[in-house]
Amino acid sequence: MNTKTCPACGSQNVITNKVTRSFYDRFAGDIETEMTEDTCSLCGMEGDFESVNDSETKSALEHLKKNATQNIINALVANGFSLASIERALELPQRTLSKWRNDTPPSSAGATLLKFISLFPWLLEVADTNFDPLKSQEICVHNAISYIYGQRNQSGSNIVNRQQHTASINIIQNNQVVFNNSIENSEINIQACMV
Amino acid sequence: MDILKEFLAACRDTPGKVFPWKSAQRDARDLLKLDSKKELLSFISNGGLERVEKEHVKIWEKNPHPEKPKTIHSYKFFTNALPLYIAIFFNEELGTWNIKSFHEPKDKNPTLADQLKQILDQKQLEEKS
Repeated sequence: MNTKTCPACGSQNVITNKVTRSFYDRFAGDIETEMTEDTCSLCGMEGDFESVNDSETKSALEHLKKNATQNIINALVANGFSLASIERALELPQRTLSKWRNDTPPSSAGATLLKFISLFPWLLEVADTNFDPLKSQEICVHNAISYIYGQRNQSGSNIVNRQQHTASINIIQNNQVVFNNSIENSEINIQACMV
Repeated sequence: MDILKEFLAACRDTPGKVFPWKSAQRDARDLLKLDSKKELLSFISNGGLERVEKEHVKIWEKNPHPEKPKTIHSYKFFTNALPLYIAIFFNEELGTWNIKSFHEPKDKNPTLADQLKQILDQKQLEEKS
């Protein structure tokens, strides 16, 4: 017998259903989990009257975070990044990334850091400058110009020469993360790009 | 005592007595990535509602016990630059707080972010056509 009480009107005329809810993470894909959905037949309120869905939600999100972490780190490795170098640049204790991938998933802050690195690998260059503001801005602007102008090379004055390191990320259908990475020496004429 | 202050205190001190309606929880998830009730109440009770303005007060029309009227209090607020709307009411008999709505205000003024998004959407449409 259902003895739930509607928190809006106090009725005990409550119908409980199980529904499937999908959770999505750009780096991990979808996961479906079963949730409880209560409906009050008297006032029409719908919700989780006994607050039982939070544990299912937490479990699903943890699962997604673990998958996202594994996908991102595997993609970094497959793309030639050294975990030791990333850990050094980010001042993480050595073997942190391996632990995140294989054993204990990172905290939410760690997971977010990985997502930023996977989207903007040049942030590692920023970290390597010890977060020097001017150098960091130069790296950011250089990558922005490279992105906007398709890395076209120009010659002339005001030339910026530097090791160009751009990467973009795609998600393919089997939830694997793939980098399109290119490392090349390039010359970009800032004046020409700004026109 | 201010109804909003009481509600914020309930979110902090007695979260078991606060119930987001299904649509409110879904909108909180879709708009703010607040996936669970715990995350939503924690956001609310930790200063997540910024620049709060009272919107209106009205009677809950679908109350099956009209002899015991329930008053819905609604507020506009911001989180960062995003304008939002929340509607709540308290059931005195049960001691329960209900989050009836949690969504973007219908008459929201476009922020700079909205305008930029509109331009980008338009550009994407042009590229597709």
